[in-house]
Amino acid sequence: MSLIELSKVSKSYPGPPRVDALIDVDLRAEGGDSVAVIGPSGSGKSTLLHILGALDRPSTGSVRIADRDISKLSDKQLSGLRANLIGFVFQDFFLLAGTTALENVAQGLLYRGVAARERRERAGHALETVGLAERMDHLPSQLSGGERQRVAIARAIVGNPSVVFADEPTGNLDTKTGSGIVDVLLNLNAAGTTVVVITHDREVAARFDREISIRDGRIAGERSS
Amino acid sequence: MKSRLLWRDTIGLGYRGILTRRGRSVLTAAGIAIGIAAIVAVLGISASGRADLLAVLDDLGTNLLRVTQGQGILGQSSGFPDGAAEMAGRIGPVSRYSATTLVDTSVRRSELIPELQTSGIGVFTAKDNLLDVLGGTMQEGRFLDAAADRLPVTVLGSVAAQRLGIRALDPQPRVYLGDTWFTVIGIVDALPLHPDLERAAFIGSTIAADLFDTTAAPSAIYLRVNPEVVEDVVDVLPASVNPESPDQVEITRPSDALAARKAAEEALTGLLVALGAVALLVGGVAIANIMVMSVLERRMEIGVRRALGATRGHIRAQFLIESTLLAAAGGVVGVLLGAGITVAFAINRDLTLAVPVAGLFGSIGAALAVGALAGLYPAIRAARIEPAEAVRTG
Ligand SMILES: Nc1ncnc2c1ncn2[C@@H]1O[C@H](COP(=O)(O)OP(=O)(O)O)[C@@H](O)[C@H]1O
Ligand SMILES: [Mg+2]
Repeated sequence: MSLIELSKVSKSYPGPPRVDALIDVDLRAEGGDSVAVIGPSGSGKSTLLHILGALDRPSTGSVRIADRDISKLSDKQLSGLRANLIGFVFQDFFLLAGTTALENVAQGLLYRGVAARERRERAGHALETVGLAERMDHLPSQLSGGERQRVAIARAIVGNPSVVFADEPTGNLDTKTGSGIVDVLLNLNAAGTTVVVITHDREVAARFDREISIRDGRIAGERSS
Repeated sequence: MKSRLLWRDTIGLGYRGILTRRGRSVLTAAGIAIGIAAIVAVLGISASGRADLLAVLDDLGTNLLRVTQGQGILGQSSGFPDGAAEMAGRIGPVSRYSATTLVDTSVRRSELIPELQTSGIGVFTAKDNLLDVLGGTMQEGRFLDAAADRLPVTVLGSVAAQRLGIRALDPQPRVYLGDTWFTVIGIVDALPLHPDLERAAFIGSTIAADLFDTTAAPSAIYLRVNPEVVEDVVDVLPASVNPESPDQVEITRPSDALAARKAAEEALTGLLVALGAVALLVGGVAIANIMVMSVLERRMEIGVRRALGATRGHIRAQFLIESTLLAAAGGVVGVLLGAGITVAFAINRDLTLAVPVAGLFGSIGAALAVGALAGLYPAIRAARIEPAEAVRTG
């Protein structure tokens, strides 16, 4: 049984103009995989990531996550899946302004019904994991881009998800800082978490076990090592 | 595998949403605060005013009747027969009665002032129990008694005393009645239901008959009757006091004026409360407006929360709670403000402070309801946002 299994998944936006963002995508990800998705802008990478992460549903085709058929789940059940199994990291960090790093990370446990004190305790550990033990009480505006992205990763992993999805997490960072972020994600993968990363950067993609190329909504090829 | 948001945390989210946009929150809640303050102040002030009005009504009673003789169809005024007051007193439910007779003279500060210049002060005869029947009290000195009935002494109504420039009885003031000096032995307190008697000088009936040929026929009779049967007494009175021309007898119930004032004030209060309610609604619309804007601005936050596992219901609850808390904060501030205005007004006007408890709780409840209602549409919109759309940047 695969952790995630897509078969013949298509996603189209009715428009007009109608856009076929994904066409007949078959894809499997196993527990412990590290996957990079690479492709030009507009090729459907984000759409794919949202469907893999139960944030969106396909127009046709089937999606199975942790052995559940997504099409049979209600919005509430999908939310439950995201709350417990899945972590997301975005290119623009998406931290809550005016809220400390610790509180931002603690939000990652909010929808698991965890009490406030435990949320903060675990958020502290997650910040240590990403190397930000000294920055817990800083506001996002007081942090560098790389530090903000580490806070966002800590928020994604504070609930120990099975899989973390990152949509161009290094897109807004310089090469050196971006490389540090990739280190964090690969460490996470080494500890057992499945990691799926979208990137434009060939060097970044090369550091992952699998590299899937996508072009015009179709999978154009895969390298695996 | 469930998504679960604790109640405590839902409220915490709403609270945080308000605090992180402090300036905007204050402006948004201000409308509600003003509406609630207006309602509470109007209810408080009118309750305080009404308490005093009711106290006056209680004090004076609603069972006093004033009987006078009107004019006939041909304009002739016949006057009561001599024993009219005693006749009225014999009616069963009449417990006490008194009468006054207009004296054909004027009152002046001194003989130097021309007789025509009377300052609108009327001279009346009075019996010792008049004040008792009216429920009046003395401001200075004492009222007429049996011994004073034949002496040149007078008691002044409060307005009459003022117009004659008499404030104290020491040294004993005198006034000029007709062409005789009368000593002022008392000043009556205000008689809010009897403006004509506030402008009167009272003298004994014996001296009035001696000096001014005043007859024993009363010009006004005052009756205290059993409150249960006031209407019945009104029915039989005309024939008792003036058997010859009962249709010319006029009966008034002075407390009716107060009751009418009370009704008018209640109507005005209703109108003002309605205006406050309109302000409250406008405040609600403002909240709805700002919340809709806030939802648009916070698409990213909504997307992230959905990605973190929030259900549509959790998002809806967050925004609903936020707008309800906002309105509640406005409501609390409004109640404090309204209470402050009421207290200041009551102190300023020397009113007895009355707390309209039902009004207080009612208006807080109204604020909560307005907040929840105002938040409903924005909350539904927030919950409808597609998470995959909300987290897209490109
Ligand atoms: N809501 C939408 N409506 C219409 N077209 C959309 C919508 N979202 C994305 N698209 C289109 O789908 C295609 C794939 O988008 P996306 O998955 O974001 O690509 P990538 O992440 O590779 O840049 C693009 O052509 C984009 O314009
Ligand atoms: Mg993209």
